[in-house]
Formats: sequence, structure tokens, C-alpha cells
Amino acid sequence: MKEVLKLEDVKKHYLMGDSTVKALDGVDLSVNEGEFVAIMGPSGSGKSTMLSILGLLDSPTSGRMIIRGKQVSHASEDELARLRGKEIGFIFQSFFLVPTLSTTDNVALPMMLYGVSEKERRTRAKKLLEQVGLGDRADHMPSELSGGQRQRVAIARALANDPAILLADEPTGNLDSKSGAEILKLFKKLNDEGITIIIVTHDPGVASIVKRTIHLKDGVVEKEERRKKE
Amino acid sequence: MYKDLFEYGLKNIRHKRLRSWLTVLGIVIGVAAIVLLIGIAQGLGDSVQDSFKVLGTNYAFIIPGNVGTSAGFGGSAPALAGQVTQRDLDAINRVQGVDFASGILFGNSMEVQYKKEKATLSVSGVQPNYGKSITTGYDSGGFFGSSDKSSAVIGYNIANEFFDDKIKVGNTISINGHDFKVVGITSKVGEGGFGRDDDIVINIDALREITGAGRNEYSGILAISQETVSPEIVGDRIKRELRNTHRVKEGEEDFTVFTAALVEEQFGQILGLLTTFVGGVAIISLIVGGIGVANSMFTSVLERTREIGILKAIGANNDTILKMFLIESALIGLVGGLIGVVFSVLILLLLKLVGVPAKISLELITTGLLFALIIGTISGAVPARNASRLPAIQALRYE
Ligand SMILES: Nc1ncnc2c1ncn2[C@@H]1O[C@H](COP(=O)(O)OP(=O)(O)O)[C@@H](O)[C@H]1O
Ligand SMILES: [Mg+2]
Repeated sequence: MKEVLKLEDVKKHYLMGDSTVKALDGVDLSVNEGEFVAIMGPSGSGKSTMLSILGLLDSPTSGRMIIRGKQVSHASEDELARLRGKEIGFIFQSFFLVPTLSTTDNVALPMMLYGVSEKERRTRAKKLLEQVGLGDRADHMPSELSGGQRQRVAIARALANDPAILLADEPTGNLDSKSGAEILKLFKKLNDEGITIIIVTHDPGVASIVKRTIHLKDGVVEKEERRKKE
Repeated sequence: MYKDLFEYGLKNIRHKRLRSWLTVLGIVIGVAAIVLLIGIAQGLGDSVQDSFKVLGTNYAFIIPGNVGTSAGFGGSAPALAGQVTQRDLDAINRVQGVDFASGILFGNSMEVQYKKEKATLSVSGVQPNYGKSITTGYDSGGFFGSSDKSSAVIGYNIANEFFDDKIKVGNTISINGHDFKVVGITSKVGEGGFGRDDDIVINIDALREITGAGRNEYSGILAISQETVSPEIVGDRIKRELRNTHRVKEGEEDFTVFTAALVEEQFGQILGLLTTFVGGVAIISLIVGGIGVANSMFTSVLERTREIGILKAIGANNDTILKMFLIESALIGLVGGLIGVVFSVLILLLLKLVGVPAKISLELITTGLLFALIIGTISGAVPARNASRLPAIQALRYE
């Protein structure tokens, strides 16, 4: 199995006045291609911090991070931006669509940033929207969609540049249980098609889908569960 | 790539919430304030300068008595009485640099009648060459011939506004019972034309016959200097020449030579004040407009810090984000500037219609547009640059 992501003794400390908040305090992680990993843990245990570092949205205080064999701790800002656009698709709890752009334009946005031609962008955006079950909402504005539909658009957008890894931070946290379940099913389908997924969640239902669950507590990995393939 | 960024900006503006229209409105108001205030101030300045220029600058006007420099036209009584005579006129005609000089006699309180209507007006009796000094042209007709002693040239106001019936070329007016045929009506020159619009001009000999003034006497002499000579120098020469004919020392003149320079000196203060005022208004409106534009751009971009975070999260680098916002804020600036300019030009036109001096120039329009463009771009780009430098996670967390 090929390793796509690796954290080595990653720490993230925040200085708050006199005290230090240790959001992450020495985390090791290795994720192989095609894995579906869940990160669970009580609120404040460092899940979002860990995912932000994996998504190159935030940088660790110390430790090493490796994406597809490439050490990124010292990459330039531009290089980090390129990796965020190409290698990683990030999905947020509150969707974070650009409110002024249509569904299609939102999905096409990461492609625009990488110089894909307008025609190609539109075609691919349509295809991705169909893939997440929103083929008939191509020209809607985000404000005209339900939460579950918005999250689907966000997933389509995350897939736009064909990334190696999808990272999702509580993607069902703002959704009712039915929409949440559908989003999880979508993730399962995407993972079955080969994409690596790391998902932060409180949803116990996730445990039945994923093959591996990492439990965080106080910024360290408390335990790890692996489910045998059935 | 730039085409894409341009489209992104356009879409963003088009689908904008109320907020961005408020931003545009802020720019509209800023630009309109600039264009309006500068337009009005420039119009005021121009109207004063225009009225000053009506008679040109190449003239000197010599009147009897020393009125000093402090008294204005038609001001207080002469401090030193004196006369201006044919001898002075001959002397002035000999002065180097004088193109021609023309003696003028004023008839005050003349009874002027047109049809049944009578009025008390002043009449100027002039020598035939006076016609050459009317450089502002005629509404209709022209000047009377050199031996024509029964014709009159009247000002625009006398012809069109003074009497119930309008006077036309060919009509007859009577002055103290003598009939004069109107052969010319001068064009309207407006304020500052030194009364030309309200003047009635007839042959000097004809006026002498009516008033019984002496053959030698003039109320004043108008001297026009040659184009090639400074009117100021000519004025000084006339002064020197007249001191000789009047046998007076410098400082004891019993006559006064008004030149454009002197008039300018009198107007100078007003003009200086006005220039300062126009400049001040321009600067204030630039600052006020600039702050308005910058403020609305600033808040609107600041509110989009999260969008900048989203763009970073999906792979935009700082440079691209900066370009996006530069293009977009330039567009907003341009749209706001255009609306502001159109709006304020319409108001300026309206003001002009009701008689407020307002000036609409291409420079003013360009200034307004450029200003909106530049201030809009800079004030949009600065917060965008700051936001793009935030770590993505921080920009995303921005509320
Ligand atoms: N920017 C920050 N400044 C200070 N403390 C922070 C910051 N971000 C997160 N933390 C702290 O780090 C800890 C972990 O946060 P987080 O990763 O968001 O937890 P989780 O997602 O598991 O709820 C928390 O105690 C939180 O208060
Ligand atoms: Mg969290």
C-alpha cells in the first residue's frame, strides 16, 4: 500500500497569555492510499486542528508532515496553495460556498485557479454535480439550496481538481440526520471509487462505514480501531 | 486567466447583496461630491474671469479728476477735479503704442422714449472710430457711419428687456426729443461688460447738440493699444504724456488712467480669493470623496475575509487573490465612478439651466472617473492584501 499522508510528532501549541494551550501534543499518523479514516474525540481534543494541518490550512508548531513522500513543513506559500488546490479537497462543517457564485461556478472555481479552460470547467462541473446527485441544480445560487445540497456542492468542489485526499471536518454537523446519512453514503461511494478520505465526526454511524477510527484526547491519539474487511 | 478573474469579479458584483450596492453608492456619492463641487467652483471662477475678459486687456480709459486706485469704477467723486480735452486726445493719439483713441461724452439723465414709453437713461456720445472698440460683436445690425448723426447703437438689455416692446434694428428712439434710428444692437456680454448691455451710443456731436456741452470737452477717452505692446507700458506712457499737457508732477495728476492692469489689481483680490476657494473646495471634496470610497471598499472587502479564506483553502495563492480583488474593486470603482459622474453632470446641467455658473469639462469627468478607479482599487486592494496574508485558517474563522 502506498502512503499518501504522514504526520510525525506534530505539535500545535497556542500561547494564551501566560499559559500554553496544547491543541496537538505529539501526533503520529500514517494514511495509505484508498483508506477511509475517521477521527473522533470529545470537543476541544484537537480534531479540527489536526485536520487543518493535514489540509495545509494551518502550520504545526513543530513536527513533520509528508504528502505523497514530499515533506511540506518548509514549503513556500505558493507551493502550499498549489498542494491545497491539487492534492487536497477540504470539506467544512458550514460548507463555505462562495455565496455570490452559482452552484456550477462554485464547483468550477478550483479549476479556474488552475487554468482549466472555461468549456472544460463547465463540462466537468456538470459531471461532478451529477456525481453528487445535483445535476438539476447547476444554475442555482447557494442560498437557494438546502444544507444537505450545499454540502454536496462543497464535495463536488473539493473533487474538482481530482485530489488524492478528501478531508472533511464534521461535514454532517450542520445537517439533519437524514441528509447527514446521505452525505456519509456519498463519502462511502467516493471511497469505493478509490479516493482517500479522512473525516472528523461525532456521528457514531460513521464507525460502521470506515475501516479505521482514530480517537483523539487532549491533543494526543488515545486509541486506534481497525475493522477487518468483511 | 485575467479574463477568468474579470468574470469572477463581474459575477460577484452582479450577484451582490445589498452591501456591494451600498459600496457603489458610497463611491457614487464621493465622486458626485467631487464633480459637483469642483464643477460649481470652477464655473464661479470662470464667470468672474470671463466678465473680466469682456473688454480684453489692451485698453486704457482716461477720465478727468484723480480718483486714486482705491475707488472703483463710477466710484466716489474725484479728489482732484480736472478736465480731459481735445488736446489730451491729440496727445494720446501721438503716444507710441496707441492704436487709436476715441473721445467719449456721457449724457446723464437723458429722457429716452420708445413708442409711448419714457425712461431716464445715460447716453454715450462717441467718435466714429469707437466702433472699432466693440469687439464683442452685434446681436443684429452694426455701427453707424462716421458722418451719421441720427443713428444709435444700443446694448442688448436696452433692446430686449428695458422697454415693454422690444427694440429692433430700424426702430426709432428719441433722446430728449431728438429722433435716432437704431442701426445696431450689441451682443449680450453679461456682467463685467462695464455696462455695455445697458448702453445707448450715438455720435458725439449729436450728443453735444442735445446737451450743449463744449466742443473741447470729453467725459473720458478710450485708448486702445497695439497688440504688440504691453498695455501697461502704453498706460504709463499716456500718463507721462498727459502730465506734460496738464503740467503736473507725478502724484499730482488731475486725471486718472485706468488700465487692465489697474482693473486686474482691483479684481486681483477677488480672483485670488476665488482661486483659493476653488482649490480648497477641490481638495476638501477629494478628501471627503476619498474617505467615503475608501471606507466603503474597506468594510466590504473586510467582510469578505472569509471568502478569501475559502479561496485559499481551494488553492488560490496570495497573488491570485490580490489580482481578483484588484480587478473587482477597480470594477466597482469604475461603476460607481460612472454613475457618480452621470448623476453629477445631470445636476450641473440643471444648475446651469437655472443660471448657477457651473462648468462641465472633460477634465472634470476624467478626474472623477480616475479618482473613483484609483481610490476604489487601492482601498479594495489594501484590505484584500492583508486578508490574503492571513493564514487560511484564520481567514476562514473571520466573522
Ligand atoms: N486559534 C486558536 N487559539 C487558541 N486556542 C485554540 C485555537 N484554535 C484552537 N484552539 C484550542 O485548541 C484546542 C483544540 O481545538 P480544536 O482542534 O478546534 O478541537 P476540536 O475540533 O476537537 O473540537 C481547543 O482547546 C481550542 O480551544
Ligand atoms: Mg472542531
